[in-house]
Formats: sequence, structure tokens, C-alpha cells
Amino acid sequence: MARNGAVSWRSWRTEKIDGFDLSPSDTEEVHVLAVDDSHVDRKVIERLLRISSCKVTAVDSGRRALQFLGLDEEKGSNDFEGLKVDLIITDYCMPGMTGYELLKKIKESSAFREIPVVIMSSENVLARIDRCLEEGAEDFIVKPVKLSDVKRIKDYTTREFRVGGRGINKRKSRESCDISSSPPSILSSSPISSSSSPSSQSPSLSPSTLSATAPSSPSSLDSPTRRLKMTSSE
Amino acid sequence: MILLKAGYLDEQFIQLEELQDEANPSFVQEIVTLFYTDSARLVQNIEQALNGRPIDFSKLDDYMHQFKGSCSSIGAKKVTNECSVFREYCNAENAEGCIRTFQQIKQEYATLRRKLEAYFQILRQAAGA
Repeated sequence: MARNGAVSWRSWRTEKIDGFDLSPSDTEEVHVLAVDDSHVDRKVIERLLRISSCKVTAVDSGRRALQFLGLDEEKGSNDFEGLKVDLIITDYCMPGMTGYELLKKIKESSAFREIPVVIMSSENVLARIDRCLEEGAEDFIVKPVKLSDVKRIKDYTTREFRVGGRGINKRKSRESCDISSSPPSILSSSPISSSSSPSSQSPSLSPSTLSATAPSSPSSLDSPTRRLKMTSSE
Repeated sequence: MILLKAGYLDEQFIQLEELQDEANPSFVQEIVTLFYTDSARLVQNIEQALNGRPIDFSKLDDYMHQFKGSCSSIGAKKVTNECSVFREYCNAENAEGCIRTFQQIKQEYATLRRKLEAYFQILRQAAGA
């Protein structure tokens, strides 16, 4: 099910991560940490992510998610339990620690605040959505989660690193950057407002991925949050 | 697919079927099995909560929220809809409404299981042929 365009941008992107990663052999694919107390939902999200070529670690609580990240006992520690996490997707309603509380803890952590966090909920409550987005969630998915949702959130793992200069600039100094130096330098030099220009200059990247970064692209107008807002006002 | 047409299942079930491939040929069946195993506990909890005097509606809503979530995740349309009805009665603290609706839920839940078992049986036979 891999698409040619997808493979090329993903392997380009992860070479940036490899350079920074503590376990370089691990990150060929996007690694997602999925948090959901429902066993059924965990299995479904796991499958959705795997079929979208992601590595998945699924845990059943916010506490376990923090433990996996190494945030639980040792606050601010950089000791990774395992693979580096590229994206966190969490259910909102969970006993103990809600997805919102987990989101806050992640955003409060200097080590992990840059990891995009997506919230899932079976309830389409605007106030809840707004609260999560304000706290720094990348997106809010109304359950049941579909394949198209997963494909969309995968984009956050690339966009984050390319656009805000967060990933690329910090991780640029490794030799693995030289392998595909032209695309990142073009993108990191163009801020989000003018990202329409690189599309013709980076042939190794799929156009659909690049258009995802441009604010004027259809995908941002079509963003789930807008869709949700429109739905809930009906 | 007939179960879809008859309203027992919705698009979500089809979505799950689309996640099957040669490496994971029984994904849907595994999910359905997991659903029934996992939700049995919730059904029991709801039953017990409904027998409490006084009824703890908040706890009831909590259990039903979880149960409804799982139903929706496998595309169990009729059951999910009944769950919504239940939650409305629950919010209104209408014990009789809850009890009545829960009977409906259990029926739909059992009916669906039978129909899905038959469906998987047919699929197995077709695969074996």
C-alpha cells in the first residue's frame, strides 16, 4: 500500500530523525504512541496505523504513556524507554488521567512538547475541541477513527519538522542530512507564508505533502477542526 | 452487504474490512470477538448498576459511554443507536426508560452476534471452497 511519493518523503524525513535519535537503527518509519483505555479501540487504531506504515506502541492509560516516554518518575528526563516517538494519539475520556491531562503534561515537558499530539473522542463537543487545540493539540478526531484520519495525522509528523524549523534546524548538523540536502534547505528557508514556491523546486517530495504545508492549500481549509465546528453548529 | 442494508452495521464495519489483507485475513473477526469478550464485562456492570437502589446514574452513564464507544468502533449501528437512547434516559434520570432501553440493547447485541457469526461462517466456507 505504499505510495511512491510517500516513501520518498518519509525516508527523507526520518534521516533527519536518525541523526538525532538515540537508537538510529529504529526509525525507518513514523513511530506513533497510541493511548486508549478501550481494548477494541486500541486494536483498531493499531491496525489503522500499521496499515499506514507506522510503527505503533499502544498503551492503555496516560500514566503508561508517560512511563513509556520516560516522563513519569523522572520529570524532564531524556531517557527513552524505546523508540523515539514521532506522534502521540490519545483518547480523551480515560479513567485516571484524561487525554487532555496527558496533553498538558506532554506540552509542559521540554523534551516532548514538540511531539504532535492528536486527541480522539467519541463526543463532538466544541468546547472540548477548543480546549484541546488551545493546549497545543494538533488535531481532534471524532471517533470512530477512519483510515483517512490516520493518513491526515501522519502529515503532522512531517509538517512539524519541516515548517516550524523545529525539527530540521535543530537536527541538521548530522551527516545523514547530506544525503538529501536540497529539499530541507529549500523548505527551511521558506517560512510557512511563502511555502507555495518550493513545490516546483523539490522534485523528490510528493506535491501533496508540500501542499499540506501551505496555508492556502485545500487541506488546511478542509481541516477537521473546521469541519467539526461546522458540524456542531448545525 | 446485507447486514449493512438491514441497518445492523454501518460504514465503520466496512472500514474495518478494508483493513484486512493477506497478512491479516481475520482482522474483523478478531475485533468482533474482542468486542464481545470485552463488552460482556460492561454489560454486566450496567446490569448491576441498574439493579442498584438508588440507581447511580452517573456511573451508569460512564459504563454506557464506554460500551457505546466500543459498539461504534465496530460499526454496530443499531446497538449504538440504542445506546444513545439509553444515555438520554440516563441524563434525565429516568430509571424505567433506562431499564426498558437496556433490554432492547441486549437483544440487539445478541442478534448482531448471531448474524455476525453466520456471516463469518459464510466467509470461511467461501474461503475454503
